Amino acid sequence: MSGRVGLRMALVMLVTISLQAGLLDSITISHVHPEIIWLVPAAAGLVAGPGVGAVSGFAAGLWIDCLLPTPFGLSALVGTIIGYLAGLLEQRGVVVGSGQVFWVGPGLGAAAGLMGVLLYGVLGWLMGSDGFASIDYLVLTLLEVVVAASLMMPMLWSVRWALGAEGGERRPRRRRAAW
Amino acid sequence: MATRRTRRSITTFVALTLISIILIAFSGQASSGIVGAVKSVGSAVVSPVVSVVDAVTRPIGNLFAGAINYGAVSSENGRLRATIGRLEQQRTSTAFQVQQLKELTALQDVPFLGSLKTVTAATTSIDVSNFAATMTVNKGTTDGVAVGMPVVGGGGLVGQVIDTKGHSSTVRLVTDGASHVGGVFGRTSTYGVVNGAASGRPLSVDFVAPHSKIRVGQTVYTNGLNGAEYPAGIPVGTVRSASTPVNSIQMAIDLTPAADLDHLAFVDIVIWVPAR
Repeated sequence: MSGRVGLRMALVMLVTISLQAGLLDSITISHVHPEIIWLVPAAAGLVAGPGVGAVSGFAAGLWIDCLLPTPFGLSALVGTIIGYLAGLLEQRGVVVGSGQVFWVGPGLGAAAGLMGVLLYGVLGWLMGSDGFASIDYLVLTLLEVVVAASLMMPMLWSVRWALGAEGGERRPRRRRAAW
Repeated sequence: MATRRTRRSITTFVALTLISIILIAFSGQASSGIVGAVKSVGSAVVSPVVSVVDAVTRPIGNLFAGAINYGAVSSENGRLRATIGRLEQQRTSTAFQVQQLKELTALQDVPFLGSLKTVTAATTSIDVSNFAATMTVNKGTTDGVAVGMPVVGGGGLVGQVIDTKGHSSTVRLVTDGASHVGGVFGRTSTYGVVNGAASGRPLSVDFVAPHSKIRVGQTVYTNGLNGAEYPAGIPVGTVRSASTPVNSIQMAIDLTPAADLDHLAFVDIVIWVPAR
């Protein structure tokens, strides 16, 4: 990633975290709220592959960790895993956008969001942090699926803009016919 | 055979995973050292932007919430006016008793909340995780706030300052899973440890002997024992259920938090640091 791409990705993360803290945190049902930070690594992985996905997930997670009293590095670990797995899909030819049925992007967003909150909860619980087992996971799951699915396409557009043409892991270009 | 791109991706993934695990291992010492510095920088970058977003979006959210819950808001307003009237009446009649109590507790060298200085702070509500019940307030080290200070408001104990910067502090709420408060049941000599579970969940009390005389509706206060994290006499919660399970070595007690944690616009930070 070049410096400019890094800055643009940082801007996307900053906007996402600000929306999370300033708006989505107040949308609570049964004392849980949706988390959209997991969409950043998922989108980065789907756009640019597992390496960029993992790096983006690590950076976004680390930033979120700065705001939380939970174990420092836990969000970074979850973000890294989500970004890498989303990137594996890209490597296997899953391209979200034109030519795909409409629900692929939202569906992958819902899956990424769901995986984020559940993985975070399970890892936190395994580490012995109090409170991780007391969340209303059913409501959280429903809320996360709806919100993540709704916001995945805007996130993909934002990440595509941020990564631009050079941001992805370079693949050998197919030479065009000269005629 | 794996391509170069695939190998590089796997290396990146493994390296970042290892770094994350190392960071988690060191997170116990997060309040000091490099990890603490990184947290401060990351939080400082986000905080101003979050404040702007919050300032823009909060009125919109309030508009929708007010429109949807108009009836409830109206009746709550009426209840609050009645409560204010009652409290004004009580304030004048209990001033003399409060003074007497202050003098008595001063003699016993027990910190009493009424005699302690407080700093009033507005909540800015940065709570970006479902797994930690925290909030951020707009007062920090420049206002004399330090880590460990109790936070009260909304009718009782709100929590404790766990991180503080120049003009903001993070407060761990009593409902957070990592919150543990030494408590005493009303005027009795029954002590216990009040634990948080998660945001919106009742508090639980540990270490209360089986078949102790605990009744529903009883208030639990901070006990202020030697070395306690909180001064004595702050309401923590009221008993909503109490029973002794068969063959249990302690009672199972649930509390409703005394403070209305869902509607905290302002809180008081008590300028009192626990003895370590």
